[in-house]
Amino acid sequence: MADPASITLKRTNSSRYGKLRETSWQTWVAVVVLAITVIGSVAAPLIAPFDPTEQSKDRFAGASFEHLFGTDELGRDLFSRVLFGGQLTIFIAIGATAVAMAIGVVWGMLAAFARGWADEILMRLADTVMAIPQMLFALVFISAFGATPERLALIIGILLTPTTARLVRSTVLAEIQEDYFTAAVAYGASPRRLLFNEVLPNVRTPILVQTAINAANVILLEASMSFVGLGIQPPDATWGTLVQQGYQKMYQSFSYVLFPALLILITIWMLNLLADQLGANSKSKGRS
Amino acid sequence: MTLAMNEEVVLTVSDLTVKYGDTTPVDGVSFALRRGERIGLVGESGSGKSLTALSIMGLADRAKLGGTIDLNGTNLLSLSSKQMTRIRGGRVAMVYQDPMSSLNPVMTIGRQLTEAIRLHSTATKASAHLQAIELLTEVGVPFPEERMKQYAHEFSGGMRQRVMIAMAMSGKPDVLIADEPTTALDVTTQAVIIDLLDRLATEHGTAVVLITHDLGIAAGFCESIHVMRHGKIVESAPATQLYAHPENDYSKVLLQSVVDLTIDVTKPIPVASSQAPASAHTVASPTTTPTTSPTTSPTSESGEVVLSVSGLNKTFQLGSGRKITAIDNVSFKVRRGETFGLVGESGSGKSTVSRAVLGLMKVDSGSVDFQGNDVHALKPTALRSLRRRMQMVFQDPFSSLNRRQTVSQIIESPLIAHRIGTRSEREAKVAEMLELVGLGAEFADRYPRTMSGGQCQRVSIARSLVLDPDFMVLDESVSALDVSIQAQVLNLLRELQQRLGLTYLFISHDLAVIRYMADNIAVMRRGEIVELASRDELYSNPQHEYTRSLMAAIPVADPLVERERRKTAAKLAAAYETEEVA
Repeated sequence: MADPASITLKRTNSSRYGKLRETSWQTWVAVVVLAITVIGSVAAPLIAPFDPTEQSKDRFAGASFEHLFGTDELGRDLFSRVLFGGQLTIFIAIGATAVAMAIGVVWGMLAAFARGWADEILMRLADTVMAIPQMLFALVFISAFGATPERLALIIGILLTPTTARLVRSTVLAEIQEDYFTAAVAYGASPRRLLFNEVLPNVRTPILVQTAINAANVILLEASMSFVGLGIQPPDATWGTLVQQGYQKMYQSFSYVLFPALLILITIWMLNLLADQLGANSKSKGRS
Repeated sequence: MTLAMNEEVVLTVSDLTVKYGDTTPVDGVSFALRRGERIGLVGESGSGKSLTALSIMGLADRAKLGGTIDLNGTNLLSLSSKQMTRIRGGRVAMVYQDPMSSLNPVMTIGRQLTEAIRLHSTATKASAHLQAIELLTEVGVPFPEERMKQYAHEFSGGMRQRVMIAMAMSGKPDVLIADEPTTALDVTTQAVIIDLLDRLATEHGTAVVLITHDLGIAAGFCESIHVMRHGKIVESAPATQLYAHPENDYSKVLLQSVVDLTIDVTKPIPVASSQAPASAHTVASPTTTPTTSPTTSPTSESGEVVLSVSGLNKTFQLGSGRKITAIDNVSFKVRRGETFGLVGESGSGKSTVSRAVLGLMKVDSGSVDFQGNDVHALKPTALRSLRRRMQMVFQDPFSSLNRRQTVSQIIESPLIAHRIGTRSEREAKVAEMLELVGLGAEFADRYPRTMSGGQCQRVSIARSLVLDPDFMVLDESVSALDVSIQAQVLNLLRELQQRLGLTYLFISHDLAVIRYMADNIAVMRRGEIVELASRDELYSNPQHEYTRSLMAAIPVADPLVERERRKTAAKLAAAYETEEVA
């Protein structure tokens, strides 16, 4: 009789290799582009040719070798400002997504597991948060506490929590109704085992997809908030702030608004592409 | 049949192949159909019978089709999809397995019917309406005028299938394809629907292709039968000849595996050795194994009571404030080593009983006593440890296994949950279980999606046995399986019971399967136990009228007997159906 342990080892290796090969080119494009964006932003102090706040006489310069994205109204190098702006944007994106996922996943799972009145309370709470217009909510919060990257991440994260909670609840509920879950209850699995060993692996994919969609939404929300002046205040800048400033000077320099806007577009596009691919992948793996 | 021979051929399928990439699920299928003839395409799941039908309908999406399908001189495979739309529902119509998903839930039955009629004729709205009422009357829908205004969910399963048949017949087709038309229906309704198809086909001269896995139903309806396996027709013969003298080995296996009311309950169901490798019986035959189980005869009244259910009630609150009584004052006792059978149709409350017995569902009143413990009064932790001794096997073999876990992880899970053994001990136990259910250690690292339904069900059984339980609830555990696989799993369950001294609560809608498995049987109807008796008593002298109609509803795999049986069964069941409507 074959030793089960040795078979397990062999299988794990081959399946990892197989998984890499099965990855679609769209996923690769999304991952590579996002990686370049993140690395570029994180390594901004090393890559950026200028100090992002250093002023010069060369105002509203177009794109050139010296200033890849041109310069702004104070003669600051836009390429450097975009790189450093990416740091803040990505910080807020990751921070807010983390807040939304952490609270949303626990919230949704609690509701699905509790059922009954606790579920009812948790979901009506989600409805309440969703009923408040996002920008209004942010406006009040930012006016009261001021805009720092941490606060922006927190408020945007909270805004995205209820949708996440709802999605997690519905996917978990679907799993709870499967026979394998009942079987696990029937053989005496503890609630912790039910959650972590039975349900969580099966809802991992929708949660990952939602993470990517949330990250894209954070960038979009942050850009909109910056655009109406609720974002990070100068001299610091996110991509959204840069778009807002560039938009006002659109007739002096076109590249000012173009490049930050392009980066926002590409990042959101790639995150959505990644979300689509993650979702499609899980579908093809399921039984028809 | 002799009449059909002289009639013209309406449909000729020759050398039909259907390809999806590298796989060929239909491989060189040929048959001919004369006007008014009924043929059966019989086979197990994956044999290609449904795909053959879909190809005739021009509905085999994204597939590469080869060969010809000749309908009255036109090759359907050469038609454009627009031309095909006119043929479909007009010259060829189809009745599907699940009438609920085949009807539009937000459109009244009347509108769907009149639209179908107008699609294939020049009828005005008013005359289509009249035709629709006429059709509904013809298929036996009572109060057709009122029911035209209703939606699909307001119809019972049998009534919905009648509507589907009316819709299929609305275009006065030459060929009617019925794909498992009764599989989703209760056994008493089956006979009514087949009888209806029979009558309509005779009256209208429609040729019928009946696709089914049920050899009993095919026996009573078809003049000739084509047995399919792996995309090929392995045997074609007139029904009377096929059932009496099957030529092909696979046909023989299929016919032998049928569990009916005449099989010998003391012997294993014959299963051919030429079957798939998974059927290899690694379990020692019960006659040679020294029995370690209690010596008390299971049918005797003296055996120790393992499970005692008394006065169980459960009602479900519907969203509309309406209450539904799922189980009503249900009481029974199960003794050690016996199989207690619970039989009933859908909605009879038998599954609610199974969940209540295991404490998976709260009840309104009544008690479940398992080996001296009141299941519904125990604290959660105490109940969890009690669960080691009582297990469950479900109906759907795929849904009951976690798709993200390998077979060994699935079987190991209960051990981890109860913190039993070291890792290597657990692995040894998993290997032992796999051997026990006849799978072998090579299955340890497979995922459920790479396995067949029968194999998945064996894994499910292995998982429930790994904790060495005394008592198992088998809730429709073989209902989703093909006949030959069902026979294997039933044999396996009986062997395991003998070897391990298990007590079963066996739940099924199938009286023949229950007869083979159970020592004592309770018949359930609308939440109540209407009859409780030992096997011999129940089958030799059924007391309740409902039990008798259930028994009459079991199809018999013998063309001559089946035809007579169906007539009586249809009459008996019609009485119950009208009661349902009222």
